Amino acid sequence: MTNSNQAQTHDTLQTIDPLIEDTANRIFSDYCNFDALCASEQGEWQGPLWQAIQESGLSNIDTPESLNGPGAATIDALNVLRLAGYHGAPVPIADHYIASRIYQSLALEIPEEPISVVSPQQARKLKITSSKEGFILDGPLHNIPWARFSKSILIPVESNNQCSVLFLDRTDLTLTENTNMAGEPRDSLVFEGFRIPSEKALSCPLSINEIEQLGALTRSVMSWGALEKVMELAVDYAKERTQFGRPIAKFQAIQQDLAKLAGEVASAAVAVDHGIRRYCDANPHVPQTSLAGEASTYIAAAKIRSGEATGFATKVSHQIHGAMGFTNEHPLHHFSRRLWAWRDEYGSEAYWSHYLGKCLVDAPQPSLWQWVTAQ
Amino acid sequence: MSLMNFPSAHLPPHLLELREEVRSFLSHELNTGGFEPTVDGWLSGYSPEFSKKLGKQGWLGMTLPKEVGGQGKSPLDRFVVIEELLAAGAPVSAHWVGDRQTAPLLVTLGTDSQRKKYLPGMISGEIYFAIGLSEPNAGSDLAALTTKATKVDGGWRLTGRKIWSSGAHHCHAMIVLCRTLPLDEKNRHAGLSQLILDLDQPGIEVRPIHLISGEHHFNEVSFDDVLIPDNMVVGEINNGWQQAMGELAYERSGPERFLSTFPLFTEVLNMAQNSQDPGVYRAIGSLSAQLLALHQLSLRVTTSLSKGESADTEAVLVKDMGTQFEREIAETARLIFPYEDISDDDSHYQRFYQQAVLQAPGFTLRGGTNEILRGIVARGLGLR
Repeated sequence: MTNSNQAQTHDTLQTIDPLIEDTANRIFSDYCNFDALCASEQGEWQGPLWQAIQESGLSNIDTPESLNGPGAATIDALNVLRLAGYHGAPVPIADHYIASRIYQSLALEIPEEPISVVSPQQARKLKITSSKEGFILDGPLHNIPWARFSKSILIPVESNNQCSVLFLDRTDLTLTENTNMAGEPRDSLVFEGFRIPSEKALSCPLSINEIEQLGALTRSVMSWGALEKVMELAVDYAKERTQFGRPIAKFQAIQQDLAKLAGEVASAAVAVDHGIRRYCDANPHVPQTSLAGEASTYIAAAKIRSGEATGFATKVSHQIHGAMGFTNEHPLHHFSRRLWAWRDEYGSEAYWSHYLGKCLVDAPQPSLWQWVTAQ
Repeated sequence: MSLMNFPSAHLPPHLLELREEVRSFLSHELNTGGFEPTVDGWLSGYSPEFSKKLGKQGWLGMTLPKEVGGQGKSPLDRFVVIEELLAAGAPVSAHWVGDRQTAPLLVTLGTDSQRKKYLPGMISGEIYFAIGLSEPNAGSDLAALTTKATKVDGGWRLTGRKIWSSGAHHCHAMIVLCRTLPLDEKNRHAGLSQLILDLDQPGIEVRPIHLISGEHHFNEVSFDDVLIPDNMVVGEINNGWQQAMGELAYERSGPERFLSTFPLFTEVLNMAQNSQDPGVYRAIGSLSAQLLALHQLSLRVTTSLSKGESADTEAVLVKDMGTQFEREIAETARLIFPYEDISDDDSHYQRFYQQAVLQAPGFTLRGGTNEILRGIVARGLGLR
């Protein structure tokens, strides 16, 4: 595999590597069964799955060979996250991927153990004092993804318009365990005059905004996969479940709802796919002269559409599954709860539609149609 | 794993240039009074002068082969041109049906003499066609149609009524789907044929049906024993159902299914220039994300069709999503820029808003109701 991290031209369409997709699907199918998803939620670390992911390089597949990574394309890395969402992979693959992009930007090799990244939205709530010796942290920090199973925790902070990433060893910290509504670890810390020496605070070429956008993109991409799953489960169940002497799929009311569900999922899917492609195309070294060059706006659209589709898709899918889908015994909830958790992480639809709307209004008019049709 | 297939698509560089070319043309026309932008311009914007200008630009009949006077371009070329025309609210209704579905039908199934008679005028923007499908008692259930043609020496005698024929009062001809064999209750799709009917002959009455906006686009067209010569049969006699269904594929997947109210959205952006309201930003952001998705869906379906791949279910799904979005623009606009707060200086906004609301009931009816479309999607999902 060659390293295709460098910006692609806009004239061609990047293709997905089918070998990587097959490998990811095989590993996720092998390890992400119903029991594993339930066990993870009970607090059990899915070590064999993480090991399989690491052995095949799937958690940071676009890390270049120069940093001892697989050197595949970013589009393949994001496609792996889509599949992780589809299978509900109960490991911190998305957060480790965000960390790997930070390591890449710092030209550092990423360790094999999971690395957690605190979202910029959360990090902003900390009181941070910088001094010559480093940084001092005060205050609570919540929703730290998978912190309890991570080797270290990265906190992106901004001082003097420069992004610094603080590296914290997990062993130095006393965590309070918590979860999001999907049962994924989202732990808490409380800092009181906690000192980070300057050698553990690296100034990062990625901006705070870029880290936030990447986080939003990972949630959108995993949601795309989970949306496809929720739809598939609903369609299959409607064909199996018999009432009034026939499968409920034969009732027009069910057909109409499923058709609308298919529309919402398709709309989210293409918005996320487009966001992925604009992210992969983006060249941070070329100043963006128009809104259409801003990958962030297309990531915003991806997060908005996947979040909006989540509301409708989970509503319809649960309605079709009836009481059964509302219980712990049916797999549907592993995906609907993840979707509900992910739509709120790294900014909700409200957050990103405000961002996108303001970008479009503030840009020279007519901005909208050019933005829609740009490629 | 995906139940629907929307492979990523990318326009080649020459189509980005074409897009710019259409934009310059439209901006020039707009600045020189060449047209007045309107909501739903592909139904409401009638301008033979503008249609002729498009013909001169080579933007009508683009996908038709060069042998018949077309450009031999791909459906993506046409996609780019009509997206720009619709986004600008240009008056394109005169030639719309002919350019979209009749001309391709005549190329595929028409005779040489039919092509010679109609295509040059269609390509120059001077000959317009109407649709002759729905009848008073045959709407969603099209096969219930009763208009019939009886064989006589040298042709067919046509009797019956067609309804909702948009623009028939301006059109030169209509493709009529009618019964050419008695109804077979066991196979209602059999025995139907497509005939070309020139509308300027005796025995044809075009009665206007005014819309709730007061505008006249719809008509009821009655035929009383009108003679249609044998050489005006399209394709095979009694094969009309299959032919008409093939025509519908052209009808369903295009950008006119999500851009009908786009001129109003443009006005919303203009109005928002003076607003700092986070609610306005959020509303615009959410609608814009939907619009981006619809453009992508439509582009991807067109790309699949241009490669000869089947995308029937996907096309129908885009129409369901897009036509709901067209209405949502108006429903959102009125909440962020209340009608009573708008001064007369914003007359574009007021006019577009009114047009959008009053045209909206039609968006989710024309070309197959959304309920019928969802039934087709459900079949695609294997539910029926």
